[in-house]
Amino acid sequence: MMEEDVYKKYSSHTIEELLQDNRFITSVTFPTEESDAYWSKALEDGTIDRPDYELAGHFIRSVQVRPERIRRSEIDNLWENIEIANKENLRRRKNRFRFYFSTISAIAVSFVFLYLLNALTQHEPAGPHASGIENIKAPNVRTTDIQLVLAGEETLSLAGEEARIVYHEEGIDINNRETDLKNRQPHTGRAVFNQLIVPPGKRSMLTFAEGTRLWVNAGTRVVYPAAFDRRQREIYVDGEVYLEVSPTAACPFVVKTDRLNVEVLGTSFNVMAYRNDTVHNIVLVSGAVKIQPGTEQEVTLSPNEMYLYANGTPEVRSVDVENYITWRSGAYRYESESLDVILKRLSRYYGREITYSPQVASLRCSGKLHLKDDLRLVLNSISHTAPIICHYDGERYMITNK
Amino acid sequence: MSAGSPDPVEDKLLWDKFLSGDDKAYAYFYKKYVGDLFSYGMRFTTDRELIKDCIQDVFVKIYSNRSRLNKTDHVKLYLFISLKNTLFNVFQKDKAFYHIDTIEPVFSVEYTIEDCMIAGEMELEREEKMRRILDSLTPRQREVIYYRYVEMMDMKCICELMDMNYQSVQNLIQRAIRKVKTLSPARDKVVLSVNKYTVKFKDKNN
Repeated sequence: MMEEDVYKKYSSHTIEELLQDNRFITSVTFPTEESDAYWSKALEDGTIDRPDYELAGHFIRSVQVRPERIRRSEIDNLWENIEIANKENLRRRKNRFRFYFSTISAIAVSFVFLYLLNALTQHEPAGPHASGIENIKAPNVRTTDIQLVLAGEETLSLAGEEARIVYHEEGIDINNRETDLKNRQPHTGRAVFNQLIVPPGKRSMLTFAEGTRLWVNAGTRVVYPAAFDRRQREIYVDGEVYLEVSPTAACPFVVKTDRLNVEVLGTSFNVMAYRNDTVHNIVLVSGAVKIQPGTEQEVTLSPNEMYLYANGTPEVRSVDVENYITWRSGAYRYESESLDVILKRLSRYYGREITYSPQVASLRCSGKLHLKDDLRLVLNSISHTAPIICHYDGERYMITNK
Repeated sequence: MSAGSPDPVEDKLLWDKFLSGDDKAYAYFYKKYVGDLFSYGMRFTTDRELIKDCIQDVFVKIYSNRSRLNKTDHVKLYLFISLKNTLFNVFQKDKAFYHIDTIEPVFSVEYTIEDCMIAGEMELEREEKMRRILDSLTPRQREVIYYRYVEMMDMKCICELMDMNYQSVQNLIQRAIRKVKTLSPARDKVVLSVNKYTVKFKDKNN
């Protein structure tokens, strides 16, 4: 037999030589026609010993490990976090004189994201844990500043486009500065609430003492207890919020909105709920959440699913979650979305009035809008793709059909 | 997904672009290598979130230091080394959380021995032997084998990544190969087993 002849000619060094040979290693893992031909020829003309060839290949195949794959959604979320951290660093560099705490903590939190637009219809607050949080009234002050309402009815106005509010055991830091504000604990057993009100055109970041972080988008009100209950953490949201919930064993996190309750079953999530929108939805990126929509049946969402409530009927469908969570890093991404929805969000984000006709409203657009840009630029970029014309009269934007 | 031959020329070009402030090049490297980096990191721990945090640290750091970074013609290696260092720093700080008795995180792999198509006794025995050999490898040997045969890095890269000189790395590999050589079939039995063996691979490749 051929093999026998070949065998006698070659020393047992061959295995070692093959296993040290770059060409051989690449051929085993990524065989090509060319490499196959090369090695068959070497085998045939007897320059290589077949059993050694087989064994060397066998060894390389055997040491291949099953790769731990990173999921698509994890890649996207991680990228977003990186972009946010980079932006943060640039900002910090600009404000280097400021005192700030904390580097990024190395210990991980897993993320559940969730997005929610609330229906215009007002319902009785649903859910088994009625604590009255949804009945807390917004302060009756009209201002374009971000407002922080403390338990003692003290209201702080915060200047600037963005506020960073960090609660810790002792008190509250604002924009990386310690304040002499005390976070009052409830002594009487009756819960006391704080509120953060972010007007259109502004944004904020809020960190609770237990570690949960919220990115709060424009035109949003968040109500939360001065200190969380031991058994359940509960907040109320009217608007859009992205949450990273700090995992605390046996203490669920519930986000209440006008229309429904969302209970976090995993560890973290992201919420958005505008009282005045006609469509609402919840999109889950990873983990699990339970949705309790008042009268309808409870729904548990899986990653990449959206709970959609429009025209009075709930529905669960698969979506590209990316489109729903990019706002945090300063962009809106749309896929075949009506201009109605897009313009409404832009108006809220920039705090500017935008008027448009029903024909314009029903146009559909796809793409990414960079919210760092001036509103006029953003609208112009839409007018390059959609047949619309944009006018600005110094006060409001008017959009008409071409 | 150990993305075959990383295109060193393109990487080098884009790395220069990144150093001079091109964000697209930055995003390119993230997209290209995040999968490999993740798989690599998971060799040291089972904590996905920790690896993601470390990858984030690596990318945030190169972004904020980019004006001070050196040119490199092997971006993948650079990222692998950064990830390893970041990870080891965490381990160092949080020893209690990870391996209490070792300072360095242990490199561990679960090999995917070809368990399909094992037909005869002979193959079964051989697989069993291969498995035993792989099990007997030391963590260092496993690590070097991973770089050489899974990531397909050349010796120079491996030396840098393991922070060892050429001869020491060579010794690690040779000791592993020597174990494999013991699997080389005894001469008189060869013909039969080899024939079967050949058939097996042909089947697999088709």
